[in-house]
Amino acid sequence: MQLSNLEIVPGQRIVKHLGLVQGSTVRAKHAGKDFLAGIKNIFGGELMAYTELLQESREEAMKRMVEQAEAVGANAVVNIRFSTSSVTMGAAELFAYGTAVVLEPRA
Amino acid sequence: MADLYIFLILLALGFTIGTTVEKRHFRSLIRREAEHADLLLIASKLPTPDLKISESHLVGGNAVISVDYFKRFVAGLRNLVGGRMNAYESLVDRARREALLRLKDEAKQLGADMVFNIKIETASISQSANKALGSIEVYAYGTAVKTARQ
Amino acid sequence: MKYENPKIPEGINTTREHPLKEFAILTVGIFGALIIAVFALGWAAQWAAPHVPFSYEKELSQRFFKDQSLDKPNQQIQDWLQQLATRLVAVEGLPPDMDITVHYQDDDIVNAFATLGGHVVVHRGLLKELDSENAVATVLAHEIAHIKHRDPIIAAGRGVSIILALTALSGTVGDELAGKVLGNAAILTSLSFSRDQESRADEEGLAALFHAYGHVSGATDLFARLKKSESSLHQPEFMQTHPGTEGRIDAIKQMARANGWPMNEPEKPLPNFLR
Repeated sequence: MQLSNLEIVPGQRIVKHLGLVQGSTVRAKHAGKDFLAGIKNIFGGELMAYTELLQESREEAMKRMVEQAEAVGANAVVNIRFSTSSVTMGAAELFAYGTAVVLEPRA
Repeated sequence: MADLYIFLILLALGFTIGTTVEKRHFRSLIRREAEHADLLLIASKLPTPDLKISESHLVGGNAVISVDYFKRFVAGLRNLVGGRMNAYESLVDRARREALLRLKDEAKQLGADMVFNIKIETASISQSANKALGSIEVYAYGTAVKTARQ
Repeated sequence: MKYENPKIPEGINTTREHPLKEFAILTVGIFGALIIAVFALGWAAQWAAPHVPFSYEKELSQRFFKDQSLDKPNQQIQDWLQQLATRLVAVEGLPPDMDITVHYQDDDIVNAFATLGGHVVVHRGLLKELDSENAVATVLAHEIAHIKHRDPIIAAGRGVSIILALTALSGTVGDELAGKVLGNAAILTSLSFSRDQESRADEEGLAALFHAYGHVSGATDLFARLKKSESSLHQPEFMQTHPGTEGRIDAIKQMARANGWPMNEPEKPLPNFLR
């Protein structure tokens, strides 16, 4: 599966558009990690635990998007966008969406 | 009374440690940015056709950075009178640059030399019920390409 | 097409201004404004309080004294204090609608206070420090003077405005702990009468003592006692909101001398049940 946030894939030709595919996941923060983050919040600096957690969640959202793309018979998703929103206190939604397409090598 | 002491201690700790951490982070950002200077970041949507692109990949990098107690308090006061929140400016700056550097790390691992269509996504992570900004997450993503430039 | 990433200079998106500078400006500015606001509100309360009808004040306090049923362990002491208060009220010339209710509280706190609605609370701990009727009358006359001057409603008005101002502030700051600290500060600053109010109550009380007994012996008894216990590192609660003990003894003596009120007459002993 070829992924790109451009509207095209260089060197390839889009032969078929299969429409919007999307993947999302809502994750709550881990209580123990929350506590550590609370302490870290006094001193400032990077919250590694959250960085990893959000990255994992984003990957999961992307995996779901790819699953949708595979289901519709695409071999690439172009013009991918990400968005994050906090749904309730302490939980975040990670969302990925793009256009599922069928690519063919240019001549 | 005990509350007041805890409050003052937190302020002092937040200030001393927070400032040190921030200074160190900025030094590290500047150093790593210099190391990665050969990888070009382009915000344009499409590469020009004259670039001979052999490969492209979606790449991204994220960072969650939290603000220290002292700055959060200063920002709270600032909230009363309005105006520029200096305390949070360095927070978002650090998070953005860190996320971009991680994007560059990933692009380099894939052997790319340019990243096109950079998008930056910022989200605040609320710590608790009160709406005081705890920390922010920045996610930077784009399409890394291998060109014939190399 | 030529692609390049020239180095961008530092410090365009961030300020180099020292964070402590901003902190200092904001703290001084905001707390300065707050102090001015509190003073203005306090002044307004002082001006407005005497216009609040006493009957309204009584109604306000009635709810409190009904809920918090002060236990009456000793009706005898209670009645004796009430009688003493009634005598002093007559001497101090309170308006006819202002009646004083004395409550005796059976605990070790060394304190007596006047509150909304003409209620005066005397703790056993304070009575134990006193050994003549004149000394007890000094305390009661002082508290009754507070009520006559409408000090409790002024303090309450000031307190409410301070609490409101600080609560608004802590709400905006948004930090839980900072809010708690500000809340405590509000409660602490609103609980006390001002020094000025205390001195005026001292003067009025002393005059009442003279008119009730024909002399002012015993007026300094309590303070002399408190001074002794102060030196033994035990700070009675009664003292914390009041002017310095030494200064008050001097002020009382000076006033007595200026008016020619005798200070060394024999004092009236306490009734048996209090001894």
